[in-house]
Amino acid sequence: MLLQHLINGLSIGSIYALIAMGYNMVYGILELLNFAHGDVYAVGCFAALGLLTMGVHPALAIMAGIIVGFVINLFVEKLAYRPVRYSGRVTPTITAVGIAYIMRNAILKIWGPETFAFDIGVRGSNLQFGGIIIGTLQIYILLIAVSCMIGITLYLKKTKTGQGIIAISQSIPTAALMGVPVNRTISIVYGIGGALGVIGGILFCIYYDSIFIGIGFALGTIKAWMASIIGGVGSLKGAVMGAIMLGLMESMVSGYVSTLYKDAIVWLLLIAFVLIKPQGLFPAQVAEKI
Amino acid sequence: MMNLAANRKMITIAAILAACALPLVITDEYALRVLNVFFIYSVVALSINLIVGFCGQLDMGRAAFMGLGAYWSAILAVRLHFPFFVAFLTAGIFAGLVGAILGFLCRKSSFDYLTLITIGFNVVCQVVFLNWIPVTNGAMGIPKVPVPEFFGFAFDTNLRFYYLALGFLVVCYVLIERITKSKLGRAFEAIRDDSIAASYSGINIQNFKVLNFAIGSVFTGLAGSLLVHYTQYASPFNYTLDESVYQLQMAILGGLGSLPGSLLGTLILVVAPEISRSFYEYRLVFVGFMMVIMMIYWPNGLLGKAGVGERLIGIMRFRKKEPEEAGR
Amino acid sequence: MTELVKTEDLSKHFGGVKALEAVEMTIRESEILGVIGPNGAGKSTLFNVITGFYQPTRGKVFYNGVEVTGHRVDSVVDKGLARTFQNIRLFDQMTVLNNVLVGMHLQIHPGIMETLFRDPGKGQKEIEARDKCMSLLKYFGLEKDATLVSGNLPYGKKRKLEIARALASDPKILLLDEPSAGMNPNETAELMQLIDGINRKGYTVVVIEHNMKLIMGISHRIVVLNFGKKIAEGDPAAIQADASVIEAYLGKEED
Ligand SMILES: Nc1ncnc2c1ncn2[C@@H]1O[C@H](COP(=O)(O)OP(=O)(O)OP(=O)(O)O)[C@@H](O)[C@H]1O
Ligand SMILES: [Mg+2]
Repeated sequence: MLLQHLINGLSIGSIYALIAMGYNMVYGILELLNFAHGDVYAVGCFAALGLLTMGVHPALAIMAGIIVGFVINLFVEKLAYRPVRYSGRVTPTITAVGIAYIMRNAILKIWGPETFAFDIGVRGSNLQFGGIIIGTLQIYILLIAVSCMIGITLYLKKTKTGQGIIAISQSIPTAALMGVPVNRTISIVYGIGGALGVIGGILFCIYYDSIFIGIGFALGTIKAWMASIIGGVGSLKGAVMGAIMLGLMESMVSGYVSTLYKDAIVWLLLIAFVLIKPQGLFPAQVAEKI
Repeated sequence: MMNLAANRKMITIAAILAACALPLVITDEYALRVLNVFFIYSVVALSINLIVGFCGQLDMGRAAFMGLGAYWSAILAVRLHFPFFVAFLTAGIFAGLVGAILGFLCRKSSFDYLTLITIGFNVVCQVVFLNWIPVTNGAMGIPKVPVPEFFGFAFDTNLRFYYLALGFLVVCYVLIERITKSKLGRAFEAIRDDSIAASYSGINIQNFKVLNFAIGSVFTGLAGSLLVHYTQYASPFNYTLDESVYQLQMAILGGLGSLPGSLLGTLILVVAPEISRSFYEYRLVFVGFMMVIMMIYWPNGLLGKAGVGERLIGIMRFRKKEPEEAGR
Repeated sequence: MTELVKTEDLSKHFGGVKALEAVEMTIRESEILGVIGPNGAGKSTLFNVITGFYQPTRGKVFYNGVEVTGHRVDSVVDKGLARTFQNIRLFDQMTVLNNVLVGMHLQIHPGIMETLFRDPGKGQKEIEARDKCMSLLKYFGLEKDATLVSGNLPYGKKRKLEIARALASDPKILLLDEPSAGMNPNETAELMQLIDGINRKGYTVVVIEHNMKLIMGISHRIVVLNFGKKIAEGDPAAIQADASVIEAYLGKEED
């Protein structure tokens, strides 16, 4: 049984990891507590749903959803975040809250609060290993998540834009002096963050065969935060580790303690965790220079 | 400047007198009810202002503390038959204690952690209100919360309650204003503007953040308690994250850092959904747009420093172009 | 002369960067001590470690013979150290007067009664504090700006206000990190007089400076840092003649 919970936790955790990664890329650059991450990618997921119900081929629908997430985040960054980029901490965070509410209510307006079936036609079979059930779907999800993570890591390490992103996350003025196109690079980061979010969100929908408004905030943004609390806000490595630990933790809590109180218990564990590790397991920040 | 200070006092007293006389003009029960709710939410907005506007700590879970005050008070009054003022006062203390503990846990954490933890705490409280049935009565909530009563005098009509709520607001406002203008308030503002420089002025940042959070929570808890005795019903669905965000917008709309602003912001956001059905339906969309647009164009809100209000006054006074003066 | 501050083997490393390496130095009562060195020599880091903002990687800091290594900034300030910053750090949204009042934080003890039950600003402690702050502002020629928002002050006044705020805590030692940065020659000359005047009032002053004229003119003693190490110490004349100091600066200019 324990092993079963571990496996379930791992596959849910790897979805969280994708979402948290997109989230933390953005955070690493602007230190913006992006409230809107989940609600923006939820728009992408619902767009995919819309196309699916219109009979579009699932692969195309998913691609389109990812592009929608990418594009929306580009626009949101340009229109809403860029003007307040240098206005301290409170102001941009509140802007992001505003965006989250606009996106969420836009979805609610079009689709309402119902849960829809999300069927892309891949019915995974189950593999049995002496009582332990592993869905082939779970294996696919793990593979997709891992390849996205490797892809992003390579992108950051090997490409010029990736290096620019790293430079910007260390210091925007210095990066600008070194000739990194700051605005364009930040746009790209937002776009990628949105796209990664949609991938994670759609994996979610596939995993649960369904989609509803909560995949954005409740299952997306909040999980990304929880992962960041464990791993350290703004650290990519921390996000992935934190997300996997979160998946395991949730699976254990609902397996052994209580499904009803799952969220509350996980939050309480996190609040207690902050006591011991106020900056997470992998603190990203270095000593402030004065 | 001296002149201004004396004027301010006169204006304040005139405003209070006018508020006392208002029920002579407004006799409509429905309107009185809206005003009563406005008075109580004003205190919530003021407490948010104290935490977010003055100390720069982005608390996104104020509704949880309202809920704590409300449930504490309801349980004490309904289940344990305590008199109103005991339930009310201890509700403030209870919320303040919880605030102090939560603040203490986050005292070493960064800005983001505090925000995340307050959100998490809001979620935890909501789950508990909804599911801890033996104590909170779950989704049914706690009905029949008694109306406020002092020594046999019951505030059982909208009119009677009007004066209680008004008095509550005035006392809270005066106390909060005094706090913000004291050494304590200056320390909060110093932490907001530059926490490093604040610690180099000898301020123990961690302690003052905890203190700020605790004081704010006392007021939020008191407001939650009073509201539940007014509506006579504690419902677990009144203390959601959406509710917290709506309350935050009250303080933002009026101007973070401006106490009169909090009243104005609350007035607008309490009255608007009452007069416009569609505002009520789309209130969270409106709040979303307001937040984005205001942060970009008027981060200081209607009455904050260099906010819309001050700019209008500035235009009316034809002031020469000089470095702007602080509003105190 | 008593030694107010003494460091032993004080070192601070940032990853591979040795910002301070085995620095032994003292601050003596009533002196003006100059701290100089090329860019990145570790001067600001020295201030940061002495005041507890950074934990040293190695070594100790003593204040009046008592070890204060690892104490929180505000408790070190409570012992009698105050500072200004290389990049001005004022409370930008607060008034000039309130900035200085915050500086007096440790000296005002109004109590709950005065805070909650008196009109704001009318309490005895508050009035006394405000008078003291106004006379400080007057000393710095800022009394007319008392009600302005500090973020809107011109640069030179911001620098002065920062010093006034530091002095408001009535420190024994005042640490100034490049106070003349960004000032024109007139303002610099005025600043020299100010620092000298503050010192004559009995405050011990430590100044980090790139302006050689200023530092040589007012310091009683100078400590020179280079690549985190103390390379020289002595009176201005001796420092100007010191071969290693000249090399440190000239070597810098060649590249
Ligand atoms: N918080 C920090 N994190 C990483 N490196 C730091 C930090 N603070 C200082 N350093 C490094 O330590 C070295 C010394 O820096 P410091 O600011 O003390 O020099 P300085 O003598 O004050 O120089 P300047 O004259 O330019 O102000 C530099 O190489 C700097 O990059
Ligand atoms: Mg320096």
